[in-house]
Amino acid sequence: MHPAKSVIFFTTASGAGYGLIAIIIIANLFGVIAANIGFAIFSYQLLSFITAFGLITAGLLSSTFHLGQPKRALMSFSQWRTSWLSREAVMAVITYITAGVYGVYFCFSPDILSSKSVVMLIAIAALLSCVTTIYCTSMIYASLKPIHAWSNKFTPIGYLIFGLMGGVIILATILHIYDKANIMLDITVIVFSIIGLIFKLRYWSFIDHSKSISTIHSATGLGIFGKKNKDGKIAKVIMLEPPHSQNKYLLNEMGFKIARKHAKSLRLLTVILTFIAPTILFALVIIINQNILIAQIMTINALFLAAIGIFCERWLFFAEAKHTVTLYYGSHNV
Amino acid sequence: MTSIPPPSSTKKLGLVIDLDICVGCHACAVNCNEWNTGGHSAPLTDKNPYGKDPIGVWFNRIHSFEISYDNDDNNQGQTVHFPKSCLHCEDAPCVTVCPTGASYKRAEDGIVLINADRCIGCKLCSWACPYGAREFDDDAGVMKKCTLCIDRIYNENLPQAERKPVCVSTCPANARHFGDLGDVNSDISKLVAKRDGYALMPEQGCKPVNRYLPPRAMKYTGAPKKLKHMGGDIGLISRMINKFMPTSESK
Repeated sequence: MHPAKSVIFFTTASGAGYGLIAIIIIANLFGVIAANIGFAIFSYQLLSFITAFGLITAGLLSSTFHLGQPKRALMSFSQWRTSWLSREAVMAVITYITAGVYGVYFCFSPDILSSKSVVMLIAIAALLSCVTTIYCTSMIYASLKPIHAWSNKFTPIGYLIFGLMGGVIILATILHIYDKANIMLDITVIVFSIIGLIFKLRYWSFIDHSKSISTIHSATGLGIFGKKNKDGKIAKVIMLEPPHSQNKYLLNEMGFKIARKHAKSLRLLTVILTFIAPTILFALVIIINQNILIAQIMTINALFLAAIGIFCERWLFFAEAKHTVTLYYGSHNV
Repeated sequence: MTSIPPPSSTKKLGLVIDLDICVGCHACAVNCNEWNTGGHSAPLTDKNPYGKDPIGVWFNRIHSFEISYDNDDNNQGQTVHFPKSCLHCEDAPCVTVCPTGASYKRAEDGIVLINADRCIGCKLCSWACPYGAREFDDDAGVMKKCTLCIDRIYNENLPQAERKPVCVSTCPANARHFGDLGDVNSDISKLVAKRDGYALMPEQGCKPVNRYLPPRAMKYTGAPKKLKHMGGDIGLISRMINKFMPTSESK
């Protein structure tokens, strides 16, 4: 599948934004971080919420660049009964409201939000809507049956893990910048990096060792009828001639082939940048645990490297995915 | 609404394509483009038509495959020309993924269409279709697809005989048939039953309406594979070369 930059940025940025809000809520519920009391422009609470909303909004705007008719984007709220893309759009709006209200509490703790049970209710609503939005985004891809690499349980789990992982790295880094470092969050970064790595390796092993049930035989129906080969198997079918001499939309969009050449090196890059770099840098921060400036530099670097890494990860997610339509263009399996 | 509507009749209009007859002349694809660039989804993009890399939207494409049998002593492959257009699926995934309701299935006859005024060009429907039936028109910024010539089949300005998809009426070999596949007594349903017509990729669960008729296995005619030299004076040097030089031709 063609890895469109706008869609890669949308899924990674908004995923990290929703993950960041979810992590803030969880950390706050467990008492790891506290809400800011009173009006402060430079609180880390406000910075982390602005970062989250900035990422979400930039991601959603970026996704509209993928559209052929962005001015009609509002119509995409209408088909939530069947379409995961529509559900995602609806959930994004709901999350703006729930997370927005929670953000007001977390950044300013106004008097109207002083009731503990009300705050708890808002926190749970915001947490659920963040997680649901990430889930809806992932289901846009997981619901596409012709794409074996997406249409499986790995897709929603992966989007959730990488969204939360992005969120926890951003929050931990912001806390370091404010010299409010919390060892629990630093450890959580390492835990998420390791979970992410194990998950990604399992996913790659899955797509490397399994194929779609559809083949060139089922796509064309040829070779199944008539006489069989000597081992009793169906006859061999190959593409003799493509239907057109020049490129076209289907091949540009669904027949993207560059990735497979570079898959190995890009996977290695993803592993190093997304998982190993943050693990090592955050482990060093925990071990050294003295100089604030060094910790800040290291965590900012970890965040920067992980951001590039997650972009590689998502690029591969698209580029390595094969579509059944390529069965009509010479592929025997997808 | 992009839910699949409950059918208001048993009608399932579709095509039956006879792979035994198709000669791969591409007339159906050419005439499809000719009609549809002035039809329901007109115009069809046709960028750089006389340049180096022409690209454009086509609703119908003719693929060519070869079937081969490794126990075939006569080593005869079989060439099959394979026209492919929208299969107007009963459970069309391209319809249910559409976020705006632009992509829809008609309750009255099962034709899958796009309302271009609602399409936002997100391309998700083309990803959801396992068959590659949809093509994006980047001039108009909307998705396009086969309409089953809806502007012909119900067109009262056309004589009755021409009220069928243009790919069907143009086929010089009569390899394409149009009709109601929901009616077991229709001519094409009978044809499908008689010739063991099949659906493409049934495992994808889309329940396509269109059917393909399998090509019959080829019979070995007994014709020699290599033509023998029939004598005559080819000259001494040529004869010597023929006889003593190693040949690069495989057996």
